[in-house]
Amino acid sequence: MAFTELSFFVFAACLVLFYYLLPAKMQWIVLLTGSVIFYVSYGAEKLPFLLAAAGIAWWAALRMEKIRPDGPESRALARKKQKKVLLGAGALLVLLLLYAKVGTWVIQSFAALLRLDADSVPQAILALGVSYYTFSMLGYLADVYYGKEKAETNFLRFLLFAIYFPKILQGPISRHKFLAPQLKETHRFCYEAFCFGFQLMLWGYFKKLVIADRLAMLVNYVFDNVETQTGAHLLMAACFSAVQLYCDFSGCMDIAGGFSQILGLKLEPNFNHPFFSRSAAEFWRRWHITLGTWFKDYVYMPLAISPRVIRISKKVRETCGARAGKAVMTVLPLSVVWVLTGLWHSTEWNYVVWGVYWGTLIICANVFAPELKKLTGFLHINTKTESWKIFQMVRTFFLFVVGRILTVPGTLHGSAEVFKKIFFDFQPGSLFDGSVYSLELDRANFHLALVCIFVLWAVSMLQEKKPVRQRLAESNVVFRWAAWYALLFSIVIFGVYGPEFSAAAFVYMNF
Amino acid sequence: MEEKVLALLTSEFPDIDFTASDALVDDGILDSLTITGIIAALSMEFNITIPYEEIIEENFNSVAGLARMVQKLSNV
Amino acid sequence: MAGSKNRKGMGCFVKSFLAVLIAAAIYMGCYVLFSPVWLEWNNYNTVHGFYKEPENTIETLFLGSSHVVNGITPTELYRDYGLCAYNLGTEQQGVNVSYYWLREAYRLHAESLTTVVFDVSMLRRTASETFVQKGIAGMRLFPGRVQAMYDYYLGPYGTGDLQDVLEQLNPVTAYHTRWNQLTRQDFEKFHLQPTLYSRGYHFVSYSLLDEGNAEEDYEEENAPYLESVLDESVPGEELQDSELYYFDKIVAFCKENDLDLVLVKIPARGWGSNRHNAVQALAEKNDLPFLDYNFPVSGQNLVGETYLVDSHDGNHLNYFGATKVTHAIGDYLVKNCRVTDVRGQQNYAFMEQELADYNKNVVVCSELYLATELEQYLTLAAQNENYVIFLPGKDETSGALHEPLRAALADLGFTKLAQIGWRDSYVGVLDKDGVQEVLEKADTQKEAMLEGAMQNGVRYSVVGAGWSSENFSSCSIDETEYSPNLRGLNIVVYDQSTDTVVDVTNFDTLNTTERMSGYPLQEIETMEAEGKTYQDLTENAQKLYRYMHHVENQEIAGALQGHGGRQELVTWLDAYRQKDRVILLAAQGDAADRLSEPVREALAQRGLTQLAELQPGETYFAVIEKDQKPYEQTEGDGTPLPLEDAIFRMIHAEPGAGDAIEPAGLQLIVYDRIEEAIVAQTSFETFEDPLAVAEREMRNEFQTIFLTPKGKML
Repeated sequence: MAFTELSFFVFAACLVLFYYLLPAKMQWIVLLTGSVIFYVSYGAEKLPFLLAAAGIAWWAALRMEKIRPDGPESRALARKKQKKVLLGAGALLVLLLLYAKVGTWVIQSFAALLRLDADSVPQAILALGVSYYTFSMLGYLADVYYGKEKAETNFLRFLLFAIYFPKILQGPISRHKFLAPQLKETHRFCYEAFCFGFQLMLWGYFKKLVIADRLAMLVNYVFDNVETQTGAHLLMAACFSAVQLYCDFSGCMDIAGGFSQILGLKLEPNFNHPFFSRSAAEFWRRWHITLGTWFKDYVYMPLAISPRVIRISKKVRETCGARAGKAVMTVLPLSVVWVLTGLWHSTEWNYVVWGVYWGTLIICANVFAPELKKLTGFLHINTKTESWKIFQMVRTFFLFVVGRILTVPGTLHGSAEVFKKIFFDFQPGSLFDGSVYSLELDRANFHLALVCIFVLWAVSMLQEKKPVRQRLAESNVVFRWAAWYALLFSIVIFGVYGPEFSAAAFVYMNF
Repeated sequence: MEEKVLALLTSEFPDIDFTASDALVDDGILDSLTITGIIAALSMEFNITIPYEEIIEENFNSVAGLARMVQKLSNV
Repeated sequence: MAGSKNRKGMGCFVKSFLAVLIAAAIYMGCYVLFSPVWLEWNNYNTVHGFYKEPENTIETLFLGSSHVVNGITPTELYRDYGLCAYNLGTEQQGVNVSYYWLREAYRLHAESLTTVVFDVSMLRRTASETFVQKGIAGMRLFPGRVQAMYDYYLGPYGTGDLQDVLEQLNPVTAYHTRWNQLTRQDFEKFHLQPTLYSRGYHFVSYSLLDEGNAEEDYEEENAPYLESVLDESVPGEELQDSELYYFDKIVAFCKENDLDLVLVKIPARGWGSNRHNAVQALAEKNDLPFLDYNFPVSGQNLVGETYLVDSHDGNHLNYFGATKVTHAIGDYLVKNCRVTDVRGQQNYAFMEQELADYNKNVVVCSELYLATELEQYLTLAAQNENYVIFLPGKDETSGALHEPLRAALADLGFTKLAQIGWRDSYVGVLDKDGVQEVLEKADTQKEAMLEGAMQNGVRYSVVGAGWSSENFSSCSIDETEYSPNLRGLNIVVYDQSTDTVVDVTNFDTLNTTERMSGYPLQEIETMEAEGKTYQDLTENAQKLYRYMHHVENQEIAGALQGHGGRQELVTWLDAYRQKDRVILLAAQGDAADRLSEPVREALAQRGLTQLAELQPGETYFAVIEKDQKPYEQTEGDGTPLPLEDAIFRMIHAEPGAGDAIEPAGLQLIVYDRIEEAIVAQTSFETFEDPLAVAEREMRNEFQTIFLTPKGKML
């Protein structure tokens, strides 16, 4: 039941009706039932994994809380015991995650070792949203361990937190502290929230169906036929693929967030106009925000302040100087974070390289900040002007595009091919000789894509200053209604759906 | 204690004005990288271990808060 | 507080309701806008016209594919027999679509419907999804189209996916990708009206011989011939299960609702004995009549001999073919089915208007097509006020315009054309408001041009240039070029009521005010009365004559073959003793042994006296041409052969090709003067043992008769 299918609309409408028509106390049960139905629609065999993970996390949190210190000495002992539970449960969850992600590969490697036929061995079941809910639960366990959160006593309520369907497919990676209280409250129907939520969903559908799926046609075509494409085409397609990924991913976020808003719930923001970032670090504070904050809170911080790292830093400080010592403090944990980020996306080598790529960018920007400052001063660049800011944004965008080229072709070899073509076979003329209209998108569709990207940019610019929904709500009725109807019917008319296309699945769904 | 902490911080992070507000974290004056740097500096200087649980707004929003935290951890 | 909250609640409710209403309205607009309008093959008129017919009036329903669309004109069934019929054929209408339309038609005409005529062309193949969609596109949503889509996708031969049904039922999901292909017609469809007078018939007047209108040049080597010789022994082709499934449903539906079902096959290529036999078996199994007009029905071959001019694309009938087929079916219906003459009945009064419109548009247009005189042509065309006539001239247009004609042209309004001189440039446009003309004298070397827009906004640009100017002619309507660009007066006739070009032609008025007819049948039919020979015919008539000859030869050969292999000399002689065919007989001595008494008598009766008395040992040669006295020669005569040229042509003068005929029996060769080729040859070994004869296959061997100047056999 993808967000773009008719069955989803029927499901969502029924859910909202039940949610608000039944007694408010039952709202969480309605949500739980709906979420389970939603999850099962992707395959009932996936459910046991989520149930198992939820069970482990729920039980472990309660266990940790039960381990109460009796006195000051036993505090350390209690801590140790709790740590054991934490690590044990965490390990199990990670195992389940690894099973889903690399299980098939492991099984097939074993099969090859035992000379069995690859088709006769079972495939590992890819539990839906396993990366997202595992991280959510790991975060929950860590929060309970560190005393930042109380354990949930009711398993079903905890399950709802884990399986709440708007966030199960592609995130955001929810914090229990943020989401669970909302799920416990009752919510009255609020017309304004309903409107705003519905409008946000419309915007999400626009990004997904009109922009992302349309660009996907071109991007897939170009990257499936690298040998015949010029470097200019490839670069253009890579830029489009950056926009496509953003629209696909954030569009899904908007649909999830908008629908939650209709239910009176808020989800953590996952995107904040990332292409307006001026540095790599800022980019990852605006792109897939919840992933970044998760790694920051649960990997970076604990590592950075762990006694071992501080000791190493001290040693380095003594031998190589204060600056080096400081640098080590950030370099070590950041490296770990970025390798893990790469692996979170996929266990293929190209994603590991991708993680290292971003890690390097961020580490260098941080460690060599003074040098960079000196450089801009040397070149007499005024860093306070608008043009410099725009330069920074464009530069960051291209850094992201490079990252896309590392991942879209699917193999490092493929990416190398693309880079080779871009640098040695650019042919800028191919952008203007009309050949861009034969890359699966005809002239009209290509121009439409450009127009929609412009609309996206304009709306994002406005949104930076003041939320657009607010803006429109305050403007005059005719203009307001016209705008929303324009949006709705752009989706109906320009959306990539129907028997002419096959459904383009959400890209981030297999994580 | 407070002056000591302030002196240390300003020497480590000359760009940041730690007296500017009482909500250094909330106001975004301190980001995560800086916080880890502060933790490293404080742990090395005062020979303490700052556990993860102590990384809360109360402790980091102001120099006074930091000083209190250091005091508490030194006495353990 | 509570009051204001309630008011706020009401306000919200009203706002939401209004919002949904407006959204629904815009959605409905998109619904209509994106629905494709199928204008080809008369589809729009057929389907939308059907719904405009008063309920419970249609008595006879025609179903089938484009062959039916082009082959049956129900209005003439009314004109000639008073029947109320409707042609619901659509392009590549699969058997399933026929079934869906049958249901829909019955829903609206249950009380009057008595007869269903089903063309069996599509029994042999499955219609593609596109054409199923096209066929049902205009059907009303409830209940017809919903039921049809449901059955098509979720029935025994469908994809089984409910999503498909929903997506296809809704033109917004199915066709919203047309947003960048919307044409003027999509916006006009909001006030598009179907024409009713054709009752589902797609009118095309031109034939394959018409250079001006034909889509491709006619090549004699690729002339389309119908397989009109039926061989009942050929095993029937296997029909598809999916088509039979729906055929059975049609049969059952007709039985259940007391409808007479008649199977027909409209004449077309791609149909032969194997298919006929298969359908014949099916018809017999279901006790249904099967009228296969590809083959002679009641001894008469409807369009087989004239298919060249009764078809407009080599595959579908044109108007002239359609009238023949319609008439034949009309005769059958009146004799065998429960049909009534509704002329004069009150509730059928509307058909008189339809007939009047039909006469004005269809019949006049067909007469236009047959007109070969310039004055006659223009007068006819000017009669219909919807016609716009474009006349660009090229090269030299004045030579043949004699005084009386010029006066007539001036009367019609073409005053400047009446004055045209040698190699002047001329262009004229006639519509119901009058005539616009531009005439540029030859010495100015200028071209004559007229540009403008017609009543419906369609733009045109017409240019005529004489020899001393640019020497071309062009007629561009809505950016499509139509002028045949031949010397003389080029004419393009445009019908504003249907937005189509109805005829394109040329009169070579340097030399003549007549044009070659695209339908020269009459010329051939009257040639004998007028004493004309083949050489006197016009080029088109000669082409048709040759075509008809070829078909005749096929029929004769087929008839002879149908004699179960019995090759009887006398039968062959009678069969080929037709105009323009030369029968050459040659015999060796032992042939005489086998000439039995009855055969000798029969030969004598036919004027072959020498053959009737042939003695053993004698060789014999004869040339027989229709009613002329046969030329005979028996060895020993010494008389020179008078028909040297005929024989010479017959003999292939290859060096060393002196192959003597197998010295056994009687050899018969038929040479066709028109086709300029041998069209049949056989030999008769014995006359008394038919079985042995039946084993012989001589048809495909080519042999020469080598004769000495004295007529002796070698």
